[in-house]
Amino acid sequence: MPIHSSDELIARAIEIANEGRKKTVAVAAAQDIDVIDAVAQSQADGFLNGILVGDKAKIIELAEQAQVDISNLDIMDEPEVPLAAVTAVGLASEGKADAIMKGFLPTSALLKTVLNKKFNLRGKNTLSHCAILDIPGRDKMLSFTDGGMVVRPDKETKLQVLENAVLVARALGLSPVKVAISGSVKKPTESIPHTVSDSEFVATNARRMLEDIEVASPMSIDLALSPKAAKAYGVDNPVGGSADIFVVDSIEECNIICKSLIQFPKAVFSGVIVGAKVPVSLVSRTDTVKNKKSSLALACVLSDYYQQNGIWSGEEN
Amino acid sequence: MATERYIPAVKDFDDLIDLAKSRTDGAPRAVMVVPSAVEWLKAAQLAIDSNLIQLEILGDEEVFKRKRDEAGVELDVPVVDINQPEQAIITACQMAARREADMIIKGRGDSIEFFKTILRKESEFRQKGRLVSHITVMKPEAYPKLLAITDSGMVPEPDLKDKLSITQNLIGFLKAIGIDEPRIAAICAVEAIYPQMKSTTDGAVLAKMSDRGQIKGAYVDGPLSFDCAMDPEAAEAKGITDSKVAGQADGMLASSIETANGVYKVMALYGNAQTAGLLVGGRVPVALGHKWDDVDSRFRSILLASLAAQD
Repeated sequence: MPIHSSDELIARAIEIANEGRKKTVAVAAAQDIDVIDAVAQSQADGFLNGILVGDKAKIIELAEQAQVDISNLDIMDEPEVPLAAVTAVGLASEGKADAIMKGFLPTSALLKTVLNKKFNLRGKNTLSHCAILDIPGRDKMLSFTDGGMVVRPDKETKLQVLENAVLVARALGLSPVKVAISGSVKKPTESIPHTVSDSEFVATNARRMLEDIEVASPMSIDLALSPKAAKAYGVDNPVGGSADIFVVDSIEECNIICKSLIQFPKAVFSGVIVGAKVPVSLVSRTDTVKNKKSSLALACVLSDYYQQNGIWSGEEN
Repeated sequence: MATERYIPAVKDFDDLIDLAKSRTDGAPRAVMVVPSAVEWLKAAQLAIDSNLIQLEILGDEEVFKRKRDEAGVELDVPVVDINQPEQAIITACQMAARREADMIIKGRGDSIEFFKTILRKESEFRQKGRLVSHITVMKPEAYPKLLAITDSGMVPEPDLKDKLSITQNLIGFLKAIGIDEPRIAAICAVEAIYPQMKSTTDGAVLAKMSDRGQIKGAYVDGPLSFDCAMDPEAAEAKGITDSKVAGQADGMLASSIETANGVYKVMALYGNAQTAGLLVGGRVPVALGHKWDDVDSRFRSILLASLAAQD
């Protein structure tokens, strides 16, 4: 069953747990109350087990202050932040954790550890971020990428970002996966160079490499999102008004459009870093409880898809 | 708690209508190329009824009459019969250059083709030393005032020099619509300045230019993320407490067309926002619309151009 909302996403994570495949999430440097709270609430919902790797005394103090019940969470005491990252990533590397979550450390520091070859968690692609938005008024979600990691993708990177996002879409059960590559013009235009390389390189290679996808390039956000807008412009393309993935040209574009959708229509946001053999989850202070929970649910659903389908099996590096 | 937001006297489109009605110097002379969408004719009729514009039509007279019947509007206005739509656009611009028109209503055509035509030399639309830029104005239901964003359609990827011109166009426009002390955010993905992210260094330069009085008539700050620009609590959570812009932006400067255009389109489609758009920085303002805009949205675009025309 395709997942079309954040509620369905959380329900799917719970279903996976009930089928006996409950996921374990290792938190790197867990001395961050927003992270502790997100993990505790998700564990109470029954879709994951959390291992808090970090400064145990601080974790307990923060949880007490905020009155968050952490009695059911495992805590591994490692006050040194870099070592906490190594321990959490190591758990994933040994198969003792299914996903990694960022705690009180810079994203870059955590990802550097994830990419360390000794953990064998690297995939062939770059790491990228997918922000999956459940927008009130739309009957399916849209995965925006990349608004968190890749500042300005070149064409090769953009293709990898697209491929990463398709993997997430498959984990959500979407078929065919409909991809729009962002451009504010109707057809490739020399004055906006990325629209040319997007169409000639990214879209062409994506269609060649990936099965069961539809790609539109260039396509503006209104035509990707809204059947009404696509109809008004006479868009004759299965992606029009019905996109699952929106691949952007800059981190700003993605980040700012997503934030406008989160701020005003109150879209529910689920984010994940893709490209490694385990999903990496991160939440921010300004996320609502719902956003945090659905981000963790996404990591669990993605991890289950990897494991059930042997996505990374045999891939050594 | 964060400081109170700056709320200008003009805070929504109704206030703008009142402002337009309070003018004593007569409605500006608008020219419109015969539109393909009847929504433009209905919007123009509303604008005439509200005394926002005087109107002249340029284009095929037969087509105009047919469209007028189709729209079911009176629109008893002068028509200059021009067969070629492209020529009609050029004529509209030339009338503006000769000061025979105070504003243009886009009317017909693909936006890219329309923009190319008005920027042609013979159109005489450009002004020396100024950049033509695209501004979209929104009134999100959950924001207590208007929010403008630029450049949403004209300059694909502005460099710092372009951004300065675009910012100055934005300031001039916001003042023309009654926002006296505009707060302008150079929006980015982050609030920190990273040398490898050009948008953040550009934002910081513009902010410093504003601090030093090199940009006048507004407060400019950046880089600011969208939520920090709009939401005082988000700004406070990120430790931005000394900004005159954070949490209360009247205008936003984006680093790419896709960003500015994307924000306004998702706000119109899903954000419960009233929107409108125009070109500024040319001889005269140009009211814009796109294919899924309704009559009200086009009317609002005419309203904005009408106010900017008399600046």
